[in-house]
This record gives sequence, C-alpha cells and structure tokens, in this order.
Amino acid sequence: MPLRFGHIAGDRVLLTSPSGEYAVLPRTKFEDFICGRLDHESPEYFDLKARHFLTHTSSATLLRVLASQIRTKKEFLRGGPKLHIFVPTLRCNQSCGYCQASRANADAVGFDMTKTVASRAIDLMLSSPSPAVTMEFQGGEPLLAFDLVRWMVTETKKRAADSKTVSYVICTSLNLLNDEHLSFFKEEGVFVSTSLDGPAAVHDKNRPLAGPSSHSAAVRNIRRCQEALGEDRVSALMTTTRHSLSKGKEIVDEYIRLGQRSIFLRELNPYGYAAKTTKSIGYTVPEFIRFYRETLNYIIDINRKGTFFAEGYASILIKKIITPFGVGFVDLQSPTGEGFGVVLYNHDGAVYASDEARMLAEMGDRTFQLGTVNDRYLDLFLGETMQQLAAAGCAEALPGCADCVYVPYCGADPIRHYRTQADLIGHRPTSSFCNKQTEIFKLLFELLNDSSQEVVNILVSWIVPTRRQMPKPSWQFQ
Amino acid sequence: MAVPIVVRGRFATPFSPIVGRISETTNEAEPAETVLVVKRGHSIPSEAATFAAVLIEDECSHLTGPRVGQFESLDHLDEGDIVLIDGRDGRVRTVFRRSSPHNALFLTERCNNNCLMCSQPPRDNDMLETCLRIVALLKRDAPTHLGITGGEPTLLGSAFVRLLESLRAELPETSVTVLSNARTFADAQFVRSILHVGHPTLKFSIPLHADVPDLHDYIAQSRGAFDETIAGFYNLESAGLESEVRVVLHALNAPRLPSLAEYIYRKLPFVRNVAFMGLEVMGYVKKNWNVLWINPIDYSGELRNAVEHLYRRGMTVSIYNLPLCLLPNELWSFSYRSISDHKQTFIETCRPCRAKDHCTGFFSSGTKAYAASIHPLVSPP
Repeated sequence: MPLRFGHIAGDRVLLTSPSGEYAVLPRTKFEDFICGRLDHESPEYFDLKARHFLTHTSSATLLRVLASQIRTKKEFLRGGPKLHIFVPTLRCNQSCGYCQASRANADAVGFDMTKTVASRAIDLMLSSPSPAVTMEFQGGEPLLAFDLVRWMVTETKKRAADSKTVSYVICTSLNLLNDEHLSFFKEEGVFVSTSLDGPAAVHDKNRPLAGPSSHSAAVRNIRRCQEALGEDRVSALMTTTRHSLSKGKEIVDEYIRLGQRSIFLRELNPYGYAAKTTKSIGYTVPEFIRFYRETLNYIIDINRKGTFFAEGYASILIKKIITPFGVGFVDLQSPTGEGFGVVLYNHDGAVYASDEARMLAEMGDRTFQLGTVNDRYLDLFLGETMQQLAAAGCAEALPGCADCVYVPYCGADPIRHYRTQADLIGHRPTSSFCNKQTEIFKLLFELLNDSSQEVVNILVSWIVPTRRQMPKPSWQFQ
Repeated sequence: MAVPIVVRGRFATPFSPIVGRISETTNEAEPAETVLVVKRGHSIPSEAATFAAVLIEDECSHLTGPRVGQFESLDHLDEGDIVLIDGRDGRVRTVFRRSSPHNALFLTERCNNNCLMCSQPPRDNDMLETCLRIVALLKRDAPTHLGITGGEPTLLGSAFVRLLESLRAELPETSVTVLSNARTFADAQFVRSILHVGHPTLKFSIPLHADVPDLHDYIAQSRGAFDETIAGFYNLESAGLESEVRVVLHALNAPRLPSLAEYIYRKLPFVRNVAFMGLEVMGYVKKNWNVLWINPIDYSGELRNAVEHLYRRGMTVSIYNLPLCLLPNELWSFSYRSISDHKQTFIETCRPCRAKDHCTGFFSSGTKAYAASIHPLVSPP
C-alpha cells in the first residue's frame, strides 16, 4: 500500500499512511517488510496489515475503510469555510510591536465598516452551505465599533433564524471593556478571545499602551469576563516574542493563575508590523523550538502533578496523529485553510482568503483578495484566486511535502510561502514554516513513542479532557 | 442461582408444538393463549380444557390432549413467562422469562460462521413462526427489552425483516438488540430493507474477533468473514443504524487486544459500545478447549490496555462475563452483571467476598477452569 517513511532516533523507522495511521519499526524489520521478507505470522506483519500498510488482496472493504478514513480526516472541507472573520473597524487604541494586522488611530475617520457592507457580508456568510459557522470579530479593536458589532450580531440572529447555527467570537484587548459590553456578551453568548502574553514583565514589553500598565488592565478585565460570563467563555491568546523565550514557566504559571485550562504557544507571524520589528522582537526557528520544547515539558510536569492544563498547538497536532478525526484548525490544513476554512470581510468591503491575506493587502499587496462583498458567494469561492490557492494548497502534492513522513498531519500555507519566499509553493529546505513543523512533529512523536504511559495519557487527555481519569466503580465494598 | 431453561415431563399422546403464556390460575381472560400450571397436590380444575395446554407437576393418569405431567419441579415458571411445549418429546422450554432482563428471540440455529468458541453451534432449523407467536403473546405486557439471536438470525433474510416488522407493530415500546455477525449487511440493499422497517430502537451487537482478517477468519472458520463484517459495520453506519462491537476473549485473540482496540478506534469510531466478553464454556468451546483456553488473569494486562485505550479516547466500553477478582481493579467500573441469571453461579470460595453483589459470577457451565484463580475480595484496593 502507499506509505511514507522517515528515519527516527534509535535506529527506527516511522511509517505513515495516507489515511493518517502510523507505525514504528526497528530498521531491520522495516527492511524485511520492504523486501517482502517479513514473517507472515509475526506481530509486525499483523500490525502493518491492521493499519493498511500492506495487504494481500484487492478487497473492496479495505478500500472502503481507507476512503472513509480519508473522508473523515478531510471532513473540514465539507460546506466551505466555517470561520467567517469580520473587521468592523481598523481603529485601535494600542500599538503592539508585533501587530500582525495593521491599525489606524482610535480617532481616525474612514476605517469603520458601513452597515451596507456589514449587511452584505452577513448575507455571504449565511449563504455558505455549512450548517454551522463561526462569526469572529477582529480589528483593529472591535470594541471601538461596538454599536456596529451589536447590530451585526442581532441582524445575523434574525436572518439565520433556524437555518444555521452561528457561534460568535470577539477578539479584543478588553481595555475598553464596560458593563454594557459584558451584558451583551452574556445575553448573546459571545465568546471572548483576548491577548495575554504572560506576566507583566513580558506582556507590557510587548504592548506599550499609552497610560497605565497594559498587563494589570488585561488581567483585571479577564477576571471581569470570567465572573460575568463563566471561566470557559473567555480565553487568552499569547504571542511569543524574543522577550518570552526565557520566560516559558512564568508565562504558563500566569495562565494557570488566571484559571485558563490551556495555552497556545504561538509564534510570531511574518506579517503586518511584526515583519518590520523582527530584529527587535524576532527569533530563529531553533530558538523558538527550544522555547517550545522546554515549555511543553514544563506543562507536562504540571499535569503530572495533578493539574489539568493543555498546550493548544500540541493538542491539535496530536489529535491529527492519534485520532481518526480531522481538526478544524485553519492554519494547518491540506488543502489549505485559506479560503477553504476561513474567509475575511474587511471594513472596506474587500473579501480575503484569510487574515494573513488581509495583512498582506494592508501592506499593499492584494494578491489574495477574493473579491468584494458585492460579489456572489460562488464567484468568490470559485474565482481565480481560490484556484491559485487550491493549486498550491494540497500539501500531499507539493515538492518537499509529497514525500514527507509527517504530511498526513501537516498543512499547506501558500500565502505564507508567497510572503516569505515569493512563491506560493515555496522551497521546503529553506522554509521556516517547514523547519518549525518538522521539529515539532519530531518532538511530539518522540513523546508519543518514547515516554512513559503516564505522559502519553496526559497528551491524550488534552484531546478528551473528560476522560483524563479512569472511572471508579459506583459501588462500595459491603 | 442458575434457573433451568428446559424441563421434561411425560405425555400420553403426541401433539403439535404449543407456545403459550404461563398462568397458575384459571381466572384467565385468554385461556386459549395460556398454559395452565397445576402444582403438586392440586387437582386439575374443570376449566383446564379451555387452556392451550396444561402442565401438571404431579404424576397424572389423565394425560390426553396437550397435557404434560410428572415433572420434577415447575417452580422456575412464573406468571407471564412464555413456554414452548414440544408434544413429541415432552420438553418444556422457557422462551421468555418475565423476571429476566436478558430475553431473546431465538430465530435460527443456522450460521455462516463456524466460530471456534461458538456456544451455540449451527444446525439447520428456523423458528420464525415460534418467534412471531412469542411476539404476539408479549403484546399484553410488553417487555422493555428483547434480543434476537441464533445462529445468525439475519440469514433468514426477508423472514428476519418480517420479524422486525412484527416487533415494530406489536411491541413498539420494546427496545431490540440483534446479535449478528453482520456479514449479510455487506449487502447494502438488505440493510436498506431493514432500515425501511423503521424500528425505533433497533441495535446490532456484532462480534469482531481480531484486527486482521488472517486471525478473524481463522477464529470464525470462514474465509472472507472479516471483510464482510467490516463492510456490514459501514453499511449499518451509512444507514444510520446503531451497532456495538463484541469481543469474545480467548487465547487466540488475547495477545492482540490492544491492537484490536486501536483498530476499532481508528476504523469503527462510530460504534455505540465496545464489549469485551469472557468465554462461555458451551458448544464448540469444549471441543476446542486446548486452543481457546487462557486464564483471564493471564490476559489482564492486554485487556487493561485495550479498555484504557478506548476509554481515554472517548469510546464507551463494557466488560461482560468476567468475575471481578480476575480483573485488574482499574477495570471494575466497566464490569456489568451480564451473565443471564439462569446461567449465573458462584462457588464456595466466593462466600466471604465483599464485592459479590456487584460481580457477574460465572457461567454455571464452566467454573472449574477459573476456580484456582478465584479469590474473595475482602477489602478495597
């Protein structure tokens, strides 16, 4: 059967199948397998057969199982983009060194979405075939356009009625938060996503807010949201800068102190202002990997001591590796999530294939604009831009990816490669995206293959948190 | 305590098989559907003639017509039970026990597998008419649950569908579980005809012996069984019909239990439950004892890995037919008192056990093999 393989530590070989299964063999056994010498009654032979690395028949059932597995893994494609990002305003009252978007001053004019544009964008979202979508408000700072956000949510609820399930997320720094916002979030079930880079020493360095400490304001506002909406209705997002690299533990501790159940150790993106400030806040891939490995190990230790706390990126990759299911994470998908998993409606009515496509446009390059809110749904998603993204967006068919043992769990990012390597397909050996992915996969497979059952159980618990303890009998000894 | 399922009495003239509901009183609204039981020391009432049949515990000289007498005991029969009386050999088989949660309609003894550990080896014999009759008799007081078993009940094809139709029409509130190897469901057309019945609570329990065709087909003694069973699972899933996996545990599949768990999770994540089941020493098991037997203590590590693997990934798991003292304590909460009460028993060693009320015990047919490893649980782990 078709398979990919790669050598791993301990003189072993990792094999992956197109449907996402994997096996690890000692190199000698792998050579026996490839040369057709593997004993037909050995455990390795049965393992490979059960995972569809080999077969002796052209069984229709076997093909059906494979097809079903691939279909399940690619389920995210069905129904088109699920994540619909709206930029109600580009105005912001902060100036972050790594801002991935771009911003306009809080009092600037002409950077807000009009109701006409908003209305068209809502109609586009609701005309998508998916029965469930997420409406996410980004900025700028969306709370600077709160009236419009409120109008959009109310209007969407009216128009969607029973035909679509819509989840609402607002990405905000929270520093303008007031009671009116809170009661609106509570009433309409809006999920709050905010930024917190760690303790004050890290957060404040990254976010020079004019006025009092940005960190203490963020913490105060996160707590306010938790009290008003419930702990599970607000999540914090961190960005790793050069200031974070030596502060992994402190950042994790800060998240736990705030009652968060997970952290996403997110690297800087090469877009927006971040692109300009790489020298002062950026780092190399090995530097990031070292930070990631140390912090991940620290998080695993915390779990070992009894506190449930997950790392978000590892959770996503491990779900891809050890479960039969796909993951709706738009940044790492094949075909690419750009336009297939996410779409962005900008304040000026332009429609982009992703947030990154918008950032590029704000930098003056509109290559990945799909059209405008005045276009029809099908024209946007079948247009030339989408076709370009599709052609460069299937990792399984890209040079350098096609043979990679990790590709069943990885994704394609044409816009990023266009940005960093001036080519949608890109060149893997020099791609920082690929370097980082490869190192993280190596690390995770090391953890899955070579650590104690306890550690494996911890990683699995990040995917199914409700099952992290084995159940106790409901009865007592007499 | 084990309850007898078949008892035998004496009769004077042979008669055709009779299916009827048990009653000990003559004050009965539908005597023609009822089998009257006359206990020791009582005389046969004059109304007896209006009943479908009469069972008399005492020795009796008036055994004309559908009457069977001289039983050792009829104490196991309760009001509302249903019996099948064979008028050619005097056997009275209990086919429905009101007090048991484990009743099943026995549709056929035929099977397209020939599993090494089959507790009910195949024979050519179908019992559709008897099953339809039992369903009709149950209508007056519908049970909450009913099984359909065999043999392989779905081999009857359209007759199987007819039984489902009758169950839906007569006992719509009764949930139904079919014990099937699912091979016939490789035919999607057949699955559609089952779906078409529109039974509201139909569920299929399907044995899977191993994660590779080599082993599964060997255990089922039938080439191609694995592929058809897996295709059956997929066709049921596509039709929106519910299924559970059953794994009967023995020496041949014990070493690969963790791999089987991974197979089920990767390929059949949609199944409602995964049940691991101890071996019942019946039928072929005795004949194949040497290849099948393994003390459950010796596979407890593999079983624990398999159960934990599935549970931690979000699947529902149960363990049937294994006494608690043979299971690692981490698995106790998955164990159910699954052995039908008419087969359940404990041994002398169990007397001081403080977990006995929560233990499934043993099959009355096979305590000897375990006995050496059985020990009373006297304090929590």
